[in-house]
Amino acid sequence: MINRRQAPLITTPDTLELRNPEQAALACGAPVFMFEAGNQEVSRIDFVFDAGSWHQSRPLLASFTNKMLQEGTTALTPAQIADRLDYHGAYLQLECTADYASLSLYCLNKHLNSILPVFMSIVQDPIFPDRELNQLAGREKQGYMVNKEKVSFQARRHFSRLLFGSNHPYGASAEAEDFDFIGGRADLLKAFFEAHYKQAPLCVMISGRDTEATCDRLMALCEDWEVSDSSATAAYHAVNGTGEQRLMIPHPGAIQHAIRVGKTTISKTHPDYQELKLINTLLGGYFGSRLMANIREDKGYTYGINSSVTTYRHDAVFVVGTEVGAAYSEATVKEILKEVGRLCTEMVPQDELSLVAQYLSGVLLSEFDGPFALADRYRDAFLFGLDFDYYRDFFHLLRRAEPLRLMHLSQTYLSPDTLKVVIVG
Amino acid sequence: MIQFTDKILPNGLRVLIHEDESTQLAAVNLVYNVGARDEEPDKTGFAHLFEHLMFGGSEHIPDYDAVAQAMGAENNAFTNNDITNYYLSFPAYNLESALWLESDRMKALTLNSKSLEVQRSVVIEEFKQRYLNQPYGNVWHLMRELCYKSHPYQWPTIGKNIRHIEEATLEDVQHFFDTYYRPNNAVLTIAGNVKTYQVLNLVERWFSDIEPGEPVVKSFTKEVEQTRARTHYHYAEVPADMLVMAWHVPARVHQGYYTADLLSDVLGRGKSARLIQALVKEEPIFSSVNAYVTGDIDPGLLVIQGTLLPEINMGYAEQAVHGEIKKLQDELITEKELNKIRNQLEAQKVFGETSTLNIAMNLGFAALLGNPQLVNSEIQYYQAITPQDLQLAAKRLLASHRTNTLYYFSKSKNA
Repeated sequence: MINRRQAPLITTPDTLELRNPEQAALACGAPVFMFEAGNQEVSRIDFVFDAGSWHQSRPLLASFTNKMLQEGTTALTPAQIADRLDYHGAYLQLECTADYASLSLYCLNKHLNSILPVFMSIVQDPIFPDRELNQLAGREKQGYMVNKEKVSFQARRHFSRLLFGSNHPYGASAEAEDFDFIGGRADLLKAFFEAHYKQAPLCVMISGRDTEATCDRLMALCEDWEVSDSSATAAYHAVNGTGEQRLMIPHPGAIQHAIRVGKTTISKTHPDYQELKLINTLLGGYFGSRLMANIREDKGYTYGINSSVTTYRHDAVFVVGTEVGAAYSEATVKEILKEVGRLCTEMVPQDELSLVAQYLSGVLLSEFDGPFALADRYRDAFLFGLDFDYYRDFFHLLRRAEPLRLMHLSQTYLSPDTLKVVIVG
Repeated sequence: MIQFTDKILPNGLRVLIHEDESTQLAAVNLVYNVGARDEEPDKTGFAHLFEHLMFGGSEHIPDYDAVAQAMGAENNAFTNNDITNYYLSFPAYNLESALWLESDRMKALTLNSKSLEVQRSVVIEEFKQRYLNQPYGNVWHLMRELCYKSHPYQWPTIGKNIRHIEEATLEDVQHFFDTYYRPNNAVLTIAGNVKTYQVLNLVERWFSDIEPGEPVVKSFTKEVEQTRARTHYHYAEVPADMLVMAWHVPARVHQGYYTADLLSDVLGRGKSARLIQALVKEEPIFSSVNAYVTGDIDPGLLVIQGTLLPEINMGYAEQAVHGEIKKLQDELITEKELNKIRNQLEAQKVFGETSTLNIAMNLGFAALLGNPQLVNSEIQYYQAITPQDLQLAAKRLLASHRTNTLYYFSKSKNA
């Protein structure tokens, strides 16, 4: 008879084995990183440009330039692009944040020869046709009108505005009329493209199998790519938050309230950042976190609550977010502030700290599973001037974090009276 | 080709094992053959509520999550109309802990009123967050009622209404567990950096003493063949009109299912698909439109769902969709277009196999359908479909008298 009370031994990895990527460079100077891994004959290729909304002079300019890349090039109509990609089972992912813009191609290796020229045409020679731009604006506006109805969307918007001000790229958000305006201004998109996509990409990532061969092909295709010197001066934006400590935005008919509680904080390159990350995990960064245990699993106020630290190139944000039954919103804010306060006044018990360290050690392993995950993690670090050592350091920190120091850091970075509150509902 | 070992323990638990040395992780997936279709019409939402209770601790493990977290596991579960699926992904050397966790709650789940009260409340908030407090959140409540007149697919997994969740009792919970959460009603899959013989030993150690339950006999009232088109008009505070159309398609294990799935791909898979090219790009009617099959075990639906652009009238959009369907009925699709979809399916399969958790889930579901080899052979069913098959299916399945249409109007736009 098996003794079910006897728990099997749990092993925690004692090293994080990460192989540094192979490196090369395109003729234009862009660094190329290769992540050879996995069993499947597939590839992902990412081009990352310094073309985020940080550089835009009008709302939506950066994201629309990014989205329009696939809507026609000097060589291919939008329908031909869609058809060529779909015919080979390939697909394209376009992303634009405040800091960066990227294009990612997913493709079976056997079709790379056919698809790489299409991909490079999208990267290098988009033409931004008026008709497609106008249609895109119509579709995106409609998506915006739907999002506007969601309390979570409104809470996110108002919270960013509260922290950064509505003229700052991290605080700005588009209004309905911005979609109408941008839909008629292909000229602005073309100018944005000239200024920010005709510089060498910040980095290129190749992940999957046979990455060196793919790199050779890519280098050949990019041999004559003419880029300008990346000497464009980075725009400066002053943080100009609205100053309010607490904001209540009415949303008629809402049966749940969306809540955001947080502040700006230190970024990835700061020496205390990794410990802050650990504190955040304890608080609201995993299913067993204090916020989940208290507000969901004990009180049942919400389907989910979490906290996060989001790092931007020039700033960072700590935020707790949740949606709760309308009747529970005041009580929830109180509990959130209470949990943050506890981090500042009580040392984390050693067993709780060990549990979180064990959890994160295992999860780190998952976060590097497979070629695409490796590329994602490397990119996250590289864009902050870091490399895989950043994760190796975090892994070691998990073994030596000290409760007293974590409490002091909480006092420095998370003091409850410095937190701003937004409630929509 | 996914290689795997397939074994059934004396208590009826089916065990599948797939080795993959390229990862440091392992995944454990445990699927129970019970979903919202097994519920009583006056106790809907129960299978999903029960899924929440499975995390409330078991006889020898009071805190499931604490053990999962100590293992470094990412874990979760989902319920749909057919199944309830639990999974963990973790560093492979902690496999035994995962089996300990899953076996203990299968053997002796702790059911108590505190856990029921809290999870009842959590699920009610989930109901609000995902279905009531979202624009278009009730579309599938309305569609299911419109499409199904006798089969239990007529209610969604979250339940018909909040009241059913409020009324669930501990006795209901215990009965549900005893009936459905038995080894003979489940499939356990282990995939990743593991050795098959070791896995088999561990599975036997932890699962073989669990008593089987009575065989579960599934007998659902069949839908009667639809003979007349059905429509439903709904007005809500949403910014844009939405059109949702659905047609009944064959059961998941039927060859006709694959043909229906491929039809939906012709209409909606990728940016080059017909509905997107014709009704979003060439003539802008929808801001977004998609086509898909629901993939249910019993006969499910082929769905077309689109949000209308502001200046477009509902009747016009509907005619435009019917126009595209008529093309499928009148004209054979070209080999080239069919090849495109075959290539898309192949790529989807290969990319899907980059995740061991995904492989584990697919193996488990295929076994539950009756044949785990489907993970390898299904692609051939798709490859065998001809343009003539597609045309015939378009004529039969998408016939106008079989249409179910929901007109979801924006109150403010149509005031």
